[in-house]
Amino acid sequence: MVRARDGTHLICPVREHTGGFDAYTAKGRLSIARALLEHRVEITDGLLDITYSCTLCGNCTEHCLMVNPEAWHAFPEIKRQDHLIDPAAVTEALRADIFNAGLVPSKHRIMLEWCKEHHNPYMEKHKDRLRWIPKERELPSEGEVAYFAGCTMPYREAHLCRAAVKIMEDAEVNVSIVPDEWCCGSIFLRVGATDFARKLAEHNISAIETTGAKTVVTHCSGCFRTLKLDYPKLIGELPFEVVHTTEFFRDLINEGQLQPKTRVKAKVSYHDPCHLGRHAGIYDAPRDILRAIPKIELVELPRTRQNSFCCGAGGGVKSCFPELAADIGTDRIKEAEEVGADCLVSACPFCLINLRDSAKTLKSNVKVCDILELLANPL
Amino acid sequence: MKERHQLLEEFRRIVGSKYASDDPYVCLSYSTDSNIFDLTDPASPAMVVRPGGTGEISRILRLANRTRTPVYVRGGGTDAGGSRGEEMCNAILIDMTRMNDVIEIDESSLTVTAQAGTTWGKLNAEVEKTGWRLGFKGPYSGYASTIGGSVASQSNGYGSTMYGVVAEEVTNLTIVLPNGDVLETGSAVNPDAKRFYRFCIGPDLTGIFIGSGGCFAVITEVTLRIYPKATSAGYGAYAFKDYESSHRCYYRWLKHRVAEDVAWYARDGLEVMVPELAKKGFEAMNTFVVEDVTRELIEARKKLLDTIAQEEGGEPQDPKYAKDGWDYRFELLPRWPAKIGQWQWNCHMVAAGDALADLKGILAFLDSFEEQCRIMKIYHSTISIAHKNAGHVSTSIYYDQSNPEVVSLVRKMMKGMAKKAIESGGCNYWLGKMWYPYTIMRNPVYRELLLKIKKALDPNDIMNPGGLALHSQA
Repeated sequence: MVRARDGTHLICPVREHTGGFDAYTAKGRLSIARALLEHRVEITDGLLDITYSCTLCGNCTEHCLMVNPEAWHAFPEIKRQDHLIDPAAVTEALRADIFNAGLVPSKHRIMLEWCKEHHNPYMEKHKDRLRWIPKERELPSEGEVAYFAGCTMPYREAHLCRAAVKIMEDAEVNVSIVPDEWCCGSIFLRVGATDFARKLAEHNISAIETTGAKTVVTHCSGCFRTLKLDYPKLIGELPFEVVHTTEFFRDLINEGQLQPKTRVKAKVSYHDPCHLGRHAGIYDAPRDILRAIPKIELVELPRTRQNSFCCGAGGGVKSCFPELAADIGTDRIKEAEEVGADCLVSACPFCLINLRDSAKTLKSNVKVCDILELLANPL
Repeated sequence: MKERHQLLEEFRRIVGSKYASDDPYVCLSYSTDSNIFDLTDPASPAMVVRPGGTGEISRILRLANRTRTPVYVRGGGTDAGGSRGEEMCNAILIDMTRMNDVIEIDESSLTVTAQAGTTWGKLNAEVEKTGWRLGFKGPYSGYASTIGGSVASQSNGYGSTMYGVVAEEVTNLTIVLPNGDVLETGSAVNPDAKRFYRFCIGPDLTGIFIGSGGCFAVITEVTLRIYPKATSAGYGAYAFKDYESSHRCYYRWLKHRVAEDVAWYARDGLEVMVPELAKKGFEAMNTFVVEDVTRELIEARKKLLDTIAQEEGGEPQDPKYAKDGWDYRFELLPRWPAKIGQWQWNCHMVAAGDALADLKGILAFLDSFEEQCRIMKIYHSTISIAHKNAGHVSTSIYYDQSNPEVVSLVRKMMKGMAKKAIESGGCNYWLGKMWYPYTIMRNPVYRELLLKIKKALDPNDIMNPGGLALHSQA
């Protein structure tokens, strides 16, 4: 069993919320992947549960001393080498092989088919994507700064889209939307549909280019990771910069263009979304924002930053195994209760939805909210 | 097949349905431990169970015994010697890692009791949180390996210089015998007594199960001694131009028994771990760690060891060579393969004063493969960790596991080193296939006694059949 380096914290959310067999951990999946490569076993549908229950949170990668140079405190001269193995990347590769063998889980296949036609995985109509914009408002479709809304926020958490734009406007940022935005492809990359994700990437890059944007701001951590890190791998260098809202707003605060306000005192804990933290290395910007909000006291969760525990929703788990996702999320709610937080804040709509479900399951008094809500609509 | 299904259902009734599986992929994920034998010849168990307590294990073993089902017990899966027996494909594998509670830190008896599936990483952290520390702190794989696995395979590791192998720190064990009976050893034989003392009430039954490789019973709880947490530490590193002087220093350091950890890097170890010293023409490096509860005690110990090193011609080096490995214990081992490739260890014990001859013999043996190693890109690194009155000589071999020719040569080298070590007066403390021909199989009286113990405890030979080279048919 792999543990965090202080020896006390378990690092695999799935292991803790399933039967805990090795097959459900990085170690076991590596064994299975190796057996497949050596033709000792074949891909069958029995592999779906094991492979697709991983949230791809990357905590195993983060703590794998053979992979992560950051973990090598003592011998900085040792550099990461090509022959080393990244467990999360192996799971993604395993999923790609499974997908190519035609064995993708049915829920993901339905999403895929829907998205081919309607450009989102939420079984919603493409024409409704911009319904989050109030009728009386008209947002420009060209400008130097473009807001990439993603799918989760417009279709499920529309108020967050409005909040993001409101904050930018409060700070006098001329923000445009991307009118013909499609799903970023994050979910399809995670479940192994790489070719389809590439098509989505090609479309989105072109759609963003038509806005003339030099900077693309996005709040969904999944979109951010995909645009910022995965698109260059799929397509090549991007003609624009990708910035997460927390970095963007932190800079605005530092420059004095944005003055956070609040009405009540609150003890707040921050949940690091995996896509934003471990995958993209953004830990400080959201904390800087929270510290800049008057009357807010930031209290760290026991597992935080690189050692943050996944909300449970990532890697397609929320869509494929919703009960497992909610179950994993209860760990975070309990941690927030443990440190006496009034509010558990994240910076990803997907974390927000799952943690809110988990809080409901636990009947917890901890309020789950997004950092945009705190900035746009003070407590 | 129907029988197996029925058996699985019965195991599920014992441990809960989500903790027993015969899914082929689940079983596959347990098809190897961390050694060249399993990795090149993996074997999946028939089913896997993850019990939550001693009572469940008792019921599992009763059922296994009744149905003559072979049982293999697994901790963190880090066995480096290849101690699996011969009937894995028919076996039920007991994954102990669900049993990971630290049960009690008892200041009255100066002991900690934990479930056998607790990792060393967790145990160290939990003990240190309360102002105490372990003597033996765990093997080099301590973030993954479990205390029960260490006891069953008698592991060596951090703290062995001062406290010996894990066995020497064990005061009590809770054990489930193959018939399902639960045995408390040592002082806990008296149900009113604490778990604090091992050598009482007749022969040392605890010792029978230490190093038994899962062939006699299942260890479910382990009690170990604890010590006041060190307030500080001191470190030293010295480089030597020849083996003779470095060995004299090593031996004298060891003889005084004031260091928590003493290591002696041979030339090939320097080349891998500290190449900058190898480039300067040093033949060896010795390092020490001292810990204690006052600064004065630490300084006094450090002064003694520094003086010895200087008297033997050691040139002082940056103490970080000692400090880093100690401060980031359990992280050292993964760095080695991270730097070079996959690895296999070969460790044995030799009398402290004989360590020089033993080390030279091992190095000469390795040199005889120099050309083949160069062609096949096989690297090695030899280090001796002091262990009370013995030197624990360890050679790591780094190699490309995907190349069958390379694997074959590495296996040959491993066996050759084992033979060499035994011939030069060493002995194995590891269990595993590599050693049996040179140890247990060489001594019929010893082996016969082990077989009798095995038959008395496990007449149906369900526990890791063939492990320790003790197959009932043999």
